Amino acid sequence: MTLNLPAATTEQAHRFATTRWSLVLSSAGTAHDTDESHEALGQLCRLYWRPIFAFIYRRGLSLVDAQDLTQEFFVRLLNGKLLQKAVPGRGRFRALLLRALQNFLIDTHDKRSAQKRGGGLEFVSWDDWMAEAPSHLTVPVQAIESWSAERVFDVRWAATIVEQALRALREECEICGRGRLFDALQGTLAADRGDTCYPQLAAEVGLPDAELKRVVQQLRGRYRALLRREVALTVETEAEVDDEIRYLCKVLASSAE
Amino acid sequence: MKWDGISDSPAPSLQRTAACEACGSEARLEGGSCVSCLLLAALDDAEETPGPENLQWVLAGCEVREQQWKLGNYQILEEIGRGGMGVIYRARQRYSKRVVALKRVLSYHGDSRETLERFRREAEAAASLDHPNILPIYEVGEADGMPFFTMKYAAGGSLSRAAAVLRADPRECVRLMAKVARAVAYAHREGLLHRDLKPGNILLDSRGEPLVIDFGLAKWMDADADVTRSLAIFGTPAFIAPEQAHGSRSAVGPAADIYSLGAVLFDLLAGRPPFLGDHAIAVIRDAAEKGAPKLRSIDPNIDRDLETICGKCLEREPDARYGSAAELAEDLERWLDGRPIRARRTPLVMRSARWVRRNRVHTATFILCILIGGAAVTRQMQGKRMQGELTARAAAQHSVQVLPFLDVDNAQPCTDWTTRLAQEFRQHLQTFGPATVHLLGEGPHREAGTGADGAGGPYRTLLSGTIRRVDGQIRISLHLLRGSDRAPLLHEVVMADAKGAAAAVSRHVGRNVYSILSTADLTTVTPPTSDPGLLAPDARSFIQQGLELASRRGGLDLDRSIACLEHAIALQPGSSAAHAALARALGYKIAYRTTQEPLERALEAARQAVALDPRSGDAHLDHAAVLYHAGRVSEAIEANKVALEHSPSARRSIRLISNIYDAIGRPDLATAWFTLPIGGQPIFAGPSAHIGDCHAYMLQDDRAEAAYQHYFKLHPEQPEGWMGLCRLHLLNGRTHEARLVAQQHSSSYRDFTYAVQMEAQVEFFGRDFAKAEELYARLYERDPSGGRNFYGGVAFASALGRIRSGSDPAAGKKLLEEARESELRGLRNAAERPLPFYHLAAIESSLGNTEAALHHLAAATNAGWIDYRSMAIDPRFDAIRDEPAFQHSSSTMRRRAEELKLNWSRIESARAQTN
Repeated sequence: MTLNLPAATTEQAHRFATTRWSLVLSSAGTAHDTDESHEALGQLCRLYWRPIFAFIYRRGLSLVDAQDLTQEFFVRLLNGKLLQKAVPGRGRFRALLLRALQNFLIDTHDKRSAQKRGGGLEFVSWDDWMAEAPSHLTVPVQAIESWSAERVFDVRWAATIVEQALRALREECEICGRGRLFDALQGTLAADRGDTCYPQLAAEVGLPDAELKRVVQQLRGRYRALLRREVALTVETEAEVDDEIRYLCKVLASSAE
Repeated sequence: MKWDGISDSPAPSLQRTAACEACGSEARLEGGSCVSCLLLAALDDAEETPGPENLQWVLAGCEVREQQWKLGNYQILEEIGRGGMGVIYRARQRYSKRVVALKRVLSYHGDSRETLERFRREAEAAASLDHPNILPIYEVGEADGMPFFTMKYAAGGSLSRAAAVLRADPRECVRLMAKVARAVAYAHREGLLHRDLKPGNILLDSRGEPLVIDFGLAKWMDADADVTRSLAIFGTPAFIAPEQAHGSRSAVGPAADIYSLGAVLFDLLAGRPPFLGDHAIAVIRDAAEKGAPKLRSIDPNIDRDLETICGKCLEREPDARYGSAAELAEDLERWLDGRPIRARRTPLVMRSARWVRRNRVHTATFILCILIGGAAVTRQMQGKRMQGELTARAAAQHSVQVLPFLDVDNAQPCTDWTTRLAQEFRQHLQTFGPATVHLLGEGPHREAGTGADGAGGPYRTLLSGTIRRVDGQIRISLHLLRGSDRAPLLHEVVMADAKGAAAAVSRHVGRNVYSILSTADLTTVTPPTSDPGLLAPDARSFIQQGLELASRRGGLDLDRSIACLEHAIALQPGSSAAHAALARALGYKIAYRTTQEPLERALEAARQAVALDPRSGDAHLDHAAVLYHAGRVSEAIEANKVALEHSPSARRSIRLISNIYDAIGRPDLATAWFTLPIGGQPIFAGPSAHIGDCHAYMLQDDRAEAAYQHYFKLHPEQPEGWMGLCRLHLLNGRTHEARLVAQQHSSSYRDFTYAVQMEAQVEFFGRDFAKAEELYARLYERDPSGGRNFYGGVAFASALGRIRSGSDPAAGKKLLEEARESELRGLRNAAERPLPFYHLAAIESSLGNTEAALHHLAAATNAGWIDYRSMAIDPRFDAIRDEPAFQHSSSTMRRRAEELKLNWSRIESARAQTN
């Protein structure tokens, strides 16, 4: 049982308030490399490395080369040079990152023809990143094979946002010792289509029907807030949040065609 | 290695399209949730979006109390895999914060210390392997009596997940298997066999490199040595060599691992294992009777050399396979380099000829053996030297080590009686033929045998047991155990007169024992379990899951555990094990959720368990635990002693009986039981916090302090060590020091209610009521009826009531009256325990009802309450502190504590003398 609930959550909120990508951008734009923005960017890299790696790999590189290039991209990103180049258009962080990535790949392609890279460059450990926040995304093989690298990037991005929100929600539940209740109820978080069988679920988690409904309702509300917060971190204004979610849903839906 | 670049695994796990019915998207999370629908849920923004406080408020209010779940030094993050006998979690190490994979072995015999030690030895051997393609084991440990080990967390999934993608790339398959074969060859050189190589035991790291897991540990996933039966129940034998599926463990050598490597390669290349069958037995039979199919008969596009390599691994005869895993690795590497491979598939004609020849040789050998045997007997009659050797061999075969029997009435090893028994037994056994009977510590001093049936050690069998007095006679419960692993061979209960009991026992069981010892293979003697719940695979699996869930002790887990076990009972109503397990889970619910509601069900389940199998130690023990929860202390102690008769070294029994004595004010007996040497050594390593508490009750603060220090050093992850030290300061009037200790540690142990409660008690007894109120208010909010099992019986409600009656008398009175109500309701279940009376005394005193308070205090003293030092500084007793009757109770308790201290020193010196 944990008793000091508020401390952990305020700390978390504070952390997120300072990782807004706009902060990263403003410092990158003015070439002021503060510790805070550096830390913020590092945080974002840790969160969004999967779409970047997936994009690079989809371009046909070997696993090891793709991992090395991803690392190199991060190093350049953290040095602030790539974002400076990409800033003029502004726009959403996702699009910006993709543009920076594309520029980077053109760049390195030119250089690679001239000299072979060192290889094995690893400023973060892949295993650590994976262990810290494993992803559970699965997509049928045949689907992926027909997708463009850009679509792979977007699908991976969408999954990262969703998994990040789920993880944050789980942490909040864990803080009050209800991690496993969350596990049991996670399946009820998707858009409600009236197909949740409450009596069965109630029996499974050992809660009365009415109480379960209240918990699920709260979980859903909180999940919504967390996911929107997650998206908000990658756009400039609150008004863009819905647009960004719609865009990602569209990518996912068209992936089925 | 071919990744899709999108999932963490080198291969996406979904092979079939499973588009979401609602939106048509194909991207799913592992539980099956659709990513698109999860995004859409956030778009649906009509309702207000609550902050974290609302959620926490609602969650805190629901009646599923789970604790943050920990195993040893690890916090469990999520379950990532589950098999018949093991569960794997992603977990975080407490201090290093490293994320690891933690594998917990679920085993019925996990209770036995010997089994745990063997597991530990073998896991440590596996942990000593250091090879880039073997997944490192970090730590081997034990929690709740079940062993676990931790290893590097490999995010890339296993070969079985990647198999579908790999199949398109035979070169990659071969490259991977060459590395795996090199790793296996290395382990073989280190003297370790794997015994369960299969795609699920080969993981991939983030770079797609293979990592072999579970070296030599596979068998621990099932405690039954009977591979065939456990396979039939739990898994597919598709990757297991025929000699391994059929034969005893001794027949299995490196060649069995080579067979498995071939089967895995076959599976990767062909997309199916070499043998398919409707059930495990059919697969085993086919593997033994038919040769493996040719790889190219399944897929003609596969390279001919790969077919030859697989075929060579999959030969039925171990000798016909590659001579070593290194040879296999070399051939795979040759193939990769485009060099000619060494292996040649034996032509069919030759194979048949060899088969016939081998069988002919077998027949001839058999006849020859008979002839030589006859000749040997003749020569033996002639040559004395030979005769001596044979006698020695027979004596070794008929060897028994007698471990000290336990006097369960006095919690003492009965050394003299055991010595007499060994003498009688030796004489009696030798009337049947050569036999060796030694006491522990006498004769060859080596650890018991390590061979399959104990042949490797000096004693093939061990004799242990208990004695107690019943109706003027002595009741002896006697166990013959296999030397290698202490598996039970024989259990007898004998009633005899005190005089000549040892001789009577020898006469009664001697012939039986000798005939068991004359059996060549002791594994055939081990009585098979007859419990229908353990024989039926589905019921057994429910029982195991139920027990595992129960051991987590969280509210939600307990309810799930109870559901699992009720299901097991519905499947096998005649299962004693299922009933006992249910009683245990319900007992945990009573103890950890402070509710009496499941008591009747628990009692009924325990009674059923005993009725269904009166010889089951587990059934008696779980019965004892439930009786204790019901407040029937003397019956609980009795049932516990019976449990000990049936399984004399059960750690749980010893722990329970020690806790019971502690709760009824007998710290001397609690200590005696807890430190009882069984089989020559104490069953629990080193002093624990529990022993510290007992010493403190017996006014031996220096020994208490040493015990707490020791425990804290061993288990820094548990708060009990520093809590004990803190309490010692408090009892001795060193409030400042107590406060320092509490402040230093409590913040790191926030998720332990006890730690917060310790801090609250320091402030309460130290009379900083403002701080104490804040802490107790938080505790009370979480669990209004909690806290009374803590030091000094300070329940949250009564402490808070006492504090508030100073500032807000009406509120304080209300709390205290509620606490009284709830205590009186529970009193009928606690007639023999002092705590409820003591708690009532504290409540009445806080309410100012002097007479009632003194009345309850007298009852508590009579029932055995001795913690007068807590009482002396407990603000709840302020109102009656000057009453003569209070002081009388206090001095009675003090006198009793002194007597118990004396009694413990008597027990201790008696033990020292017998040693």
